[in-house]
Amino acid sequence: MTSNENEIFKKEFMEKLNQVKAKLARKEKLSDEDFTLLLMSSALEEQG
Amino acid sequence: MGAKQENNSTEVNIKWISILQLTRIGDILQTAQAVRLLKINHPEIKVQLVARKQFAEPIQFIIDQVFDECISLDLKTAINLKDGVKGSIRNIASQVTIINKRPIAASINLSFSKTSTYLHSLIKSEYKLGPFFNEKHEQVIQDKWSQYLFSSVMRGNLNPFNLVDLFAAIVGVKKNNTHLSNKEFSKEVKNKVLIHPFASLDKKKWAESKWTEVVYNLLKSNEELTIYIAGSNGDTESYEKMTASPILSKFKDRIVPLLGKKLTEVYDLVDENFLFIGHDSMLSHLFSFKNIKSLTISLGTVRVQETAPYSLNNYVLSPKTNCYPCFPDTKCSYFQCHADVPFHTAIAMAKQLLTSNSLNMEKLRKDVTDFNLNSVDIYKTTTNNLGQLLLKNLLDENKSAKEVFRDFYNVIWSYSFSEIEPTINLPKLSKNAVEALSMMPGAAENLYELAEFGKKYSRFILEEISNNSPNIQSIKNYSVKIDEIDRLLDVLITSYPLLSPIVDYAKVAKSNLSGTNIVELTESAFYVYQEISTSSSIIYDFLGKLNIKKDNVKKQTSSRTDA
Repeated sequence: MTSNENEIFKKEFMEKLNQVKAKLARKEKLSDEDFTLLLMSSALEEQG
Repeated sequence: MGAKQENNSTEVNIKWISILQLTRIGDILQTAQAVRLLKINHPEIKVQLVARKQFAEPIQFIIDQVFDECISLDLKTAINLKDGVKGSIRNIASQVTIINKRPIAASINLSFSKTSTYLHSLIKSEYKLGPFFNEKHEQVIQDKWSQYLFSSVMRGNLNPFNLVDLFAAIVGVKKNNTHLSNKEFSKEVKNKVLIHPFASLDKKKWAESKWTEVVYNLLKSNEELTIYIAGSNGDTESYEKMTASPILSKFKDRIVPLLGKKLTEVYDLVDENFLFIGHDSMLSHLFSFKNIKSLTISLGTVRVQETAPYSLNNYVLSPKTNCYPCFPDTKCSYFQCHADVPFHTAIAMAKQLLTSNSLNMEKLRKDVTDFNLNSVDIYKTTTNNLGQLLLKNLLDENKSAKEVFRDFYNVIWSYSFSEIEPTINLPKLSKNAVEALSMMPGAAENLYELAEFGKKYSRFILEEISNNSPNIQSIKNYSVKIDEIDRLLDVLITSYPLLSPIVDYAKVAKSNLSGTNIVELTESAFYVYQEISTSSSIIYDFLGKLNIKKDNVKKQTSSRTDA
């Protein structure tokens, strides 16, 4: 995979994560998709 | 037709529980031991294990014996650049769908990692035990045993429970039956030793040179003996360092490397002719399934009571070093606890275990100098009246203050959370223990008073709320008082660490108060203070039974001998 693809992935991932964070800031309830994204975020963190 | 209907109704009545264990192989094996206990007592319950693929696969042969189903999570493959973010989310969601494919009566998260806590939120179960995130992204632990596990394990060393028993308690096993058995699997006379001299952290393993001595001495003293050394491919360098010593050159043909072998091969190889010697590691847990006679050498961060292999009549050798057990992030340049466990002691123990299934302490005292025995503890695994695995100290029948408090806590937690009572005998105390315990009646009193204040201000809040026109300022003032009490509890345990499990547990319980409004939450807080209050009273009473009372402390310490 190229570093470009990596960057695109990272950008898209951060955008989605920020949307979840904004939801939390607005005290909105999280959906299963939000939790799946957070699970993914945590798994990526573990993988370094 | 009738038979078909019966089958359908049986199918409907089958309850499935899902257990999340996303940590390493050793943890999965300990979970499997807990599920063995569940299955013996509740064979009607079906159990699904959710584990990471890389940790589940090597021990699939054990998982298949114990669980009804295993879902191997493969997050590494699921998250990939090719599928992009949306595709990766879909990949993860499809793995979660497999977990949720049938109704789950209860899901139990035993791994306490962030990833497993998120995953737990996605499981559609009727009841959730262990941590999960609610819709507001607050971490919630509803059940008391999980709250306790979260507050105590890998904190101090006052937890009296083996992790397997804790897992079983979380799952809710009533241990009318147990698979733990006194029947020996190993032969009295053994001619093979399997050594696993490696561990995940340097802190947890001896230097290679010490293992060289063990291998040399055992082979030299017994011409019939063959030593197998197990490890992963990554341990090859360390293995070579260990076996390159010239003193082993004569014995090369009796040293068999088992590096990078599949666990199933190693498991099948080890039979009743073997003694296992190793550090606290996944292999020690694996062999506990066969009850292979074992000697575990525990160092560094290892809390013997928590992680001793779950089988009876096996032995643990650990240091008496003050800073032992430490924490994974504790910096240590000189491993004092390694130095405090002499290889001579391990060798003498191993020699006895090779010709007998139990240790003769008199003989050991003759074989090993006092100097080499003074710095270690030697434990044998046994059980109490509740079937909980305990460690019996073989070298010193006088208990230390910590051991005494571990017994107290066993009674307190077992009764508070499960309404069961372990039998504890009045211990003999060492002189040091009497001295250390002498200040504890006063400390227990202080803890009791703080808890009573906590109850009082919680009650004031409830009374104020129940007024027709509650005074918000008064409620705020009472809340400030409660915060002060919580701070004072922290100060108290800094001075009296033996009381810290109670305060640590209360903190976790308070951050997981049940209730949806201020009245319910305050009531729950009241009950947490009530639990502190009850626990401190029990400790006070126990100390009284040991004749350690606030008023006669001086007399006690000066008149009491080491008896």
